[in-house]
Amino acid sequence: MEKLSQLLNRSFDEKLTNKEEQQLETALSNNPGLRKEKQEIEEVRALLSDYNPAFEEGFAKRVLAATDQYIQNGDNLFYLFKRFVFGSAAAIAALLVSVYLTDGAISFDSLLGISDINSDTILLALSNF
Amino acid sequence: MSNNANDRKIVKEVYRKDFELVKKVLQGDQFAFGVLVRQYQLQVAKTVIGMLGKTQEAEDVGQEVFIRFYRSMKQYNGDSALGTYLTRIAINLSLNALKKQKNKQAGDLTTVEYQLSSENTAAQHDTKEVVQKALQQLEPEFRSVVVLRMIEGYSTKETAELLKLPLGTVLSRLSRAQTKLKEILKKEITH
Repeated sequence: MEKLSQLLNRSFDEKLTNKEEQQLETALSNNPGLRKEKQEIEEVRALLSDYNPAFEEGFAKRVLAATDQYIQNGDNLFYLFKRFVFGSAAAIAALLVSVYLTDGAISFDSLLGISDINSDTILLALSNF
Repeated sequence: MSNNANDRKIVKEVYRKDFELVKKVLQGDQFAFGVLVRQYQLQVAKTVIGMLGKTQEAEDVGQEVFIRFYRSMKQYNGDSALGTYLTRIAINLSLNALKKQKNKQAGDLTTVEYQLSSENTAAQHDTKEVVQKALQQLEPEFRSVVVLRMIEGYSTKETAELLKLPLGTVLSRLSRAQTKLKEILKKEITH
């Protein structure tokens, strides 16, 4: 009987083999207990398929409010990021202009502030130690 | 046109409409997003409340499903049902929430039977509550297959894909869950 119960259970969600289907059909026609079990399973499944819960009233509004907040926060972050990027770019541009006005050229040496330094200057500095 | 071909046409039409709505939302149309939420909130509710019960946590997770969807909307390309896409998010968030829970929500079997027997008449019997309590009796791994297969109505193959489980595992869990639910709900179904 247990084996037949398992077969019956499986029949609701699996494709049984032809042999299994015939076995189940025969068992159902001969076994009132198995037929009762089948009916009970069908009733349980009907209860479950009719189960229709819902969120509390106003759910959609709350979701929209939450996404609006998300968009706002995202917009705020983006706004701050843009300010940071433009501010940094402006600072770098100002530095480059300053270097150009001071040294008359924009080179790696002038950026490092060593464009006026030559080997004699270095030797003089070292000899003072 | 044959029934199957007609069904496929209808399904593709639904996908197309959903995809059009998503495109509108991506263009900044919040009204379109509201339409989507209202259209699919019941489907998401079935999954989330089925998994977590009628609780504040379920409400929070339900909201999170749509917020996550909103954030990842660009990834939706209309090649699958939007409902399934949302259900995938819902089941994953619900399973994560259950993992985080300190105490099991489920009472023991005797508690459920006591509550059922204390109901006076069929009119007072809240079937929804009965099913909810029965579901909470199941371990999360069994509850998830029941929710997707028996409540949401996905096929066993779709259920396996949604849960990223082998088909055999899903079938085995369904069979065991069904047996347990039959015992839990015996009083309800035999009147």
